[in-house]
Amino acid sequence: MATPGFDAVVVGAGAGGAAAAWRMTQRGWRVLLLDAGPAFDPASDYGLDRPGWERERFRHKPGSLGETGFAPLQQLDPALADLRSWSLGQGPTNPGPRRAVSGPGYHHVRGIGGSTLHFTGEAHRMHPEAMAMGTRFGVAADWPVRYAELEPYYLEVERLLGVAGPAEARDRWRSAPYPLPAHPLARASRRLGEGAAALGLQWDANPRAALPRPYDGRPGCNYCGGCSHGCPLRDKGSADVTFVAKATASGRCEVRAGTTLLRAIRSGARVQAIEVADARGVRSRVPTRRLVLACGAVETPRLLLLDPGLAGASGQVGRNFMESVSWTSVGRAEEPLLSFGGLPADAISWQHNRPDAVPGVTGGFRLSAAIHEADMVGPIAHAQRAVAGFGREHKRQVRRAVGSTVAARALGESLPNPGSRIDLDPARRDAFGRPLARIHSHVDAMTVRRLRAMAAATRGLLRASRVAALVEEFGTYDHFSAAHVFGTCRMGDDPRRSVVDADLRLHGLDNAWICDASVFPSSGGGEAPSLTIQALALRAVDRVAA
Amino acid sequence: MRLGAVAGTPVVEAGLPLPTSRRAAVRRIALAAATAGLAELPGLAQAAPDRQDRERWPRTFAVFCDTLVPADALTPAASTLGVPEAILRHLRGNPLGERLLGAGCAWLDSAVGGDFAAADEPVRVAACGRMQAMPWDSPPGRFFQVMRNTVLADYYADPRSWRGLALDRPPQPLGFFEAVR
Repeated sequence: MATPGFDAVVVGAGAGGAAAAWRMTQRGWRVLLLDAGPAFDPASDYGLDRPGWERERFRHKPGSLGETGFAPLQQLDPALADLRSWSLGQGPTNPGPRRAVSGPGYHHVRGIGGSTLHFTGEAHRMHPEAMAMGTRFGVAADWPVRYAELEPYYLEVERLLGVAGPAEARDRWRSAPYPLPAHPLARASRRLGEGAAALGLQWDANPRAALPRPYDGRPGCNYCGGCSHGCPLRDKGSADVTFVAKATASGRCEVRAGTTLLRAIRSGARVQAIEVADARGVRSRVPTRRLVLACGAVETPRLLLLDPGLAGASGQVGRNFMESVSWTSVGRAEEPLLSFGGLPADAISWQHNRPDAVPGVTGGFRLSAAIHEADMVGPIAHAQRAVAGFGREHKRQVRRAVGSTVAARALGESLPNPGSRIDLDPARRDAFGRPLARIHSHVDAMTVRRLRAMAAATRGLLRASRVAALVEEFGTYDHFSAAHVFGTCRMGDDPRRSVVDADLRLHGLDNAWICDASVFPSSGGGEAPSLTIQALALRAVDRVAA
Repeated sequence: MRLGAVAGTPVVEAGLPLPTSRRAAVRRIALAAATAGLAELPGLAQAAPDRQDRERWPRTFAVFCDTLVPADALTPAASTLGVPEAILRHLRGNPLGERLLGAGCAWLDSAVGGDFAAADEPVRVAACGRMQAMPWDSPPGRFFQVMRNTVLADYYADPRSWRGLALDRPPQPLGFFEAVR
């Protein structure tokens, strides 16, 4: 069955796809925005007001958690015991000899809004020096787009989302201030700030896509701390309540949830139509003048590998996979700090973020307040992980611990290595019989050095903040646990070494683009990617129209 | 960061039946994850409990749960909130989980000389302390870790356990403005 054609079809309604769709509607184009996952209703689908709020975390709906395969992860080195994860309550959290997949491993949401539905909402610009890793350090690759070219787009996205940020720009120069003033820091983050000051570290308000006051028809945040559970207030700038809402309001964007791309139908170098299946499995053909893929750095390369005509001949699709390299230390203060409340990741230090900031280590990292991202918020987490043992004394200690735990997290550069890539899983298939994506991940020697520096920084910050008693540490060395993934459809000027060009157009095709973090040539030193994904998407659409 | 019910064991959501209630589904997923690696546990797959053992498990397990989470002046014991029954209900039809349960209960009974449920609290606490110290790769050690996580999650998901906590209500709809003052 054929349906009327569109000026553009966007596959994937997360950060990049939603931004691209909105920009296209501004150009007067008729757009179809589809996603394999469901739509969420912030008013009713999230569980933060229910007794089971802590247990459910983000309330996935049928179809919102995509399946991903994993190749066996590496054997762990006993000499690196200081980088193993542990908690007081559980002991070693990976007691095995190999690196393990933590939970689903790749933490994402399929649906209208994509992973912005459960993201914290950090709104980061890339460090300009982290966009030239190839030239400066001979690793990863240079971005073919300069910071100066992205800057006006960053600003536009910040204004659309309502980003609240500090006055101080530091290494990321700005042409105008943030649209909203920074949020007040939570007590626990102010405590970390005291430690940072004692160490001579910068400690800033973190730029956040969450509203300190009503803005553009959305209410202000009430500091419940539950951003990653899904924001019922709609003050968090997830893509569904910002870009998708505006695209839909234009009258030129049709949104279809539960719709899976099966294949692109091409004629020469042009995509002419796509074949999709709806939630009931009914197939249809959708003619389109343009195709945008925006499914993230795991699923987008899978779609290309399933269709060699889209992937081209570079052999680069799926290579250069970069993940979230992180280390989190959680400690317990002597007194109550109400640390369950406040805005998650409200404070940050960019001190180690420049790619050469850490002597002997290539690639930087950032430090931030992280009790909510560590998921050490409610009584279940504290009872299981922060307090050892059992019995009446355990109960008493849980009562003391809830609200007193403080976490520092370091999130760092991830550099490509030959052992980290995406391919097609030979053993597992989706509902349509197509191989799933399979993640290969390898922690190399430089990553270990960076992790060591990151662990030293988080431990040092907690110690200086008078949070001396550690209760848990968690890191990338012995767990694969990634929400930010990058690089598998790298952008670049040379079609032999990249998948898309500087305007995100697939090499070899006239009318197909990729708008997600798979195009990143390097990961940055711990910056959250969504703002950059969205800035790149707006720019890409503008370049088409030009 | 997201830890599974027991970190290091993948949470496998695909292939599970659709939930009849979200809370039941969450518990089932956590238990499925927690027992996912049990097939490789030495000795567990071969353990074949007899009927007499099986009939004693619910009582042993309920008292084990109350040893982990006893009543105190503020909040009730695990069994008062229905925690053991809920876990046993959701272990039904999970052969490896049931074998783990059997291995754990048999170890507890043996550790106190016959009937864990009838033992005095200090004896039970001492037995649980020994069990807690056993290796992850032994059936009793795995039983303790898996069930400790599951019991604590079930218990503290119930608002009746929240008395005395600084966080004694869901985060919404009120939020926590006081945390940023």
